[in-house]
Amino acid sequence: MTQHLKMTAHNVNVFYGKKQAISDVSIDIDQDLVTAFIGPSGCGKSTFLRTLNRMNDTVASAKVTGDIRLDGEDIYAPEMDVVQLRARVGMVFQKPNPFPKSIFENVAYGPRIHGLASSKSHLAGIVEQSLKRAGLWEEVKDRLQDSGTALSGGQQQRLCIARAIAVDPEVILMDEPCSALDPIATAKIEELIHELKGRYAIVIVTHNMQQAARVSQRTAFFHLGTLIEYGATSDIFTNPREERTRDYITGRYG
Amino acid sequence: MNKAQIHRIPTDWRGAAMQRRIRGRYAAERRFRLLGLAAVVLSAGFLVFLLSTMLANGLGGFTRTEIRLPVDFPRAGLTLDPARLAGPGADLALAGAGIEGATDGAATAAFGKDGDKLISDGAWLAVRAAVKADPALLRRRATIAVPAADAIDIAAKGHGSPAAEATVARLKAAGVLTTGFNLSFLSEADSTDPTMVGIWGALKGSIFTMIVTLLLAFPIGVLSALYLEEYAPRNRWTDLIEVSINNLAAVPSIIFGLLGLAVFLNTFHLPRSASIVGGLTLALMTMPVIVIAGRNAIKAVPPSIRDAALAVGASPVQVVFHHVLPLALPGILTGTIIGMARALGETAPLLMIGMRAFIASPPERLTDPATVLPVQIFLWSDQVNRGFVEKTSTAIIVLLVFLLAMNGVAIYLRNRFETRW
Amino acid sequence: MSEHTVKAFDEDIGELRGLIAQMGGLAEQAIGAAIEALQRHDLEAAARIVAEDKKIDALEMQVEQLAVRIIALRAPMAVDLREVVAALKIAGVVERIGDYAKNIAKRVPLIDSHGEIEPLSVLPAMAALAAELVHDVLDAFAARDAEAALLVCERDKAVDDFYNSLFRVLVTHMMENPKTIGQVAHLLFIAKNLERVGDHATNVAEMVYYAATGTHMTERDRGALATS
Repeated sequence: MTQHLKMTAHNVNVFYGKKQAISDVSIDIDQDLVTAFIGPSGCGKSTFLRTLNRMNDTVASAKVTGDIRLDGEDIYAPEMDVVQLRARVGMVFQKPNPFPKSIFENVAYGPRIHGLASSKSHLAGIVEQSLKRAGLWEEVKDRLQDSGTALSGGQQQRLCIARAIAVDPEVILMDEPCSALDPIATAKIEELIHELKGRYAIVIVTHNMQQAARVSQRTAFFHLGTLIEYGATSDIFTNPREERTRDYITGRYG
Repeated sequence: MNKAQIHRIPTDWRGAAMQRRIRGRYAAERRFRLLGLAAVVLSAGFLVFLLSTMLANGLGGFTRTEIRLPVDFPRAGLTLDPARLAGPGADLALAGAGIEGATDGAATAAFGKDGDKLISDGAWLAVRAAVKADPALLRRRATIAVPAADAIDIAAKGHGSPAAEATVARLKAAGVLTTGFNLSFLSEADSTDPTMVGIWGALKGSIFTMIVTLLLAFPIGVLSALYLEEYAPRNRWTDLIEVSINNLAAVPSIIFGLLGLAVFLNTFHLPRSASIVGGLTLALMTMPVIVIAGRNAIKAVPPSIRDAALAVGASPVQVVFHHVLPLALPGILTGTIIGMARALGETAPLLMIGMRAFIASPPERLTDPATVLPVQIFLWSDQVNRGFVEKTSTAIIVLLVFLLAMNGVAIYLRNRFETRW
Repeated sequence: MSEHTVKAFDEDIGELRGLIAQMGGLAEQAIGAAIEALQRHDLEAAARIVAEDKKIDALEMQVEQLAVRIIALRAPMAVDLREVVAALKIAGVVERIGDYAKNIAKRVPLIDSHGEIEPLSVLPAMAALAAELVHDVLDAFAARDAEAALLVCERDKAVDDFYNSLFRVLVTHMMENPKTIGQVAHLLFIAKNLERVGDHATNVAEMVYYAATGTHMTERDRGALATS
């Protein structure tokens, strides 16, 4: 299968002040696949995820070195507009965080500030399409003016996914999106990820190995800030090459 | 090894010792509840005491005693052409008509030699107003209700000298004494005669000053709070600024008065006693309060909302104005209410910048000399005349109503902007 | 390999391996006992062996239940998953080995030679070799030893050679002594069963290799197929 690389990272290091959180990580993110980052708590998988859309910029003491490219462009170059980068590389967080506005406004906010809709009806169409792609349209189509925070946890997370989709990103980063959800909501999100695969490059951080096994095609195992192993999901979970990977996934850790 | 040897006997939850503990715990809870209730009752008591005293003293000021004065216009000797009253030169015509003398004459005719002392010095204004309203009066006799003199007014309310009270009784028996709503209190400015005095001048001055204060303190305070919370780096300089602002909020208000005197009056040569100077001085005083409340309100906005906005591609300015500010607005408005309420009641700094003069007419522009409600109350309380005692309390009531109205508006705004989470 | 953080997982895997070891021991014993019963024409022993085969069947069911439980409850990954799947398959194969031993025992009443048939004396050696293969391959499973599994595959050639020469001898015997054809035919089947036991040991060796390494044995490792 030919690889279409969407994002590449070479020799990435991340420092918080004097403390090094990520050491020399190089990884390629494929455009058509779901890539999972797994590893124990504090291994740096979330930190590395946040370097991909420069969310670490919001932390004053964070320093990122190395070469990270989106479609070949260095995202840390001075010419790269961070605001546009974040529209091209969207993010969904662990705890659902819809804006305290109506459902419609939540989804419409992104296209509005980037000027992606040419008219009101176009904007309404974008909102409908995003909610449909996120699998939420049928449940909320009659109450778009209700507050986004009045939805259940699983619905709120799908709303956040719809919000991310609305700006038509190229990559969607998900930071433990199902941690706060019950199994049924989790299953719906996993099915949604499966449907979104191919249209967007998806990177998902999860501490649930079974979820990584179900949802991804490539898996990267992080440990203490380094990338230990990166390969096809079925290989990692049936026959990993590294002993540390094997120890982690068989539950021999610690 | 010791830890392993601790032997736990099963706890007797129903034993006497435990029962004592339970009783003691319940007693402590009861005591605490009673203490809290007592504190609330005490506070409410103070408030009730304050309000009832003010109302008892001041409600009378909203009424005034009037005398029904019979005026025989054709024989009053007015040099006035009824036809001119219809046109634009009416006021000029009235000015030269000698109404004052005619009024005094009517009073003497009705009540005897000292009749003109029974009516207020400004009684002729009531006659003038009646004539202007209905020029047909000039051709016949009419009875016009004019304000009574100060001594009569006081006596009618039960505080006067025995002689005055006797006069009041006589007038009452004659059926010429009435009590009416003192509209002029709310529409007239300061005066030396308590019966003619009004609060409108001071009220207008307060309104102008408050507007200036709000227009300056609110934007500067909110923008400062936004900058300090969202953009400023965390270093020694910003810490210093934060400490300075916190201290500013605690500075005694009279020092701001001195500052205003030195800077606005002496250096910038702004007009003395003007609302704009008062507003500037009070703005300096109110701004730190708004900054502190604003910073706390902004800090309370959860970072998850900021992250969500950033992740969708909002610029820092958009994050602040679309997300942070609307959520912080209730807290900011609360701080503004507190600051403005304090500013409304401030006397000392405004005395320093000269807003203590006797202002006979309400200010027209921001640069006109003016006074404010608290200062007016202070000045009236200094007056010797008995009539001003009541008026002082009445002015306090007006001040409280103004304060309530301001708070009401702010609370309404806060509730409107309060987003349900 | 270190222990699992969840100790019960280790206990379950241990129980599974114990059951496999038990089954293997029983099957090994059955082969030896069957051949001995054949030599001594011990009908009682033979009947006992047939009855004891039920134990091996029961153990196979136990292994299946335990393996399914482990997969459902523990979600084993990588080496643990391969080992559980291997144990499941090995149990089936060992059950068949037990069936072959039972089959041999069943033929004991039908061979009434009183030591007249010479090739009978060769069978114990062949049986011992086959039993040894079973023993060794299950040891390899217990030790998670891929190299030992490879060795078992190579040694199966010896069993195949045994069978080939025995086949020729028995056919010659049948041609020379037509009266013994009936009984010699049974001996032929018994020899075939022993050869199959050797092949099954090879199958188990492949499963052990996969469980231990995660890759499959190549053709080269398996050795030549028996010619029959």
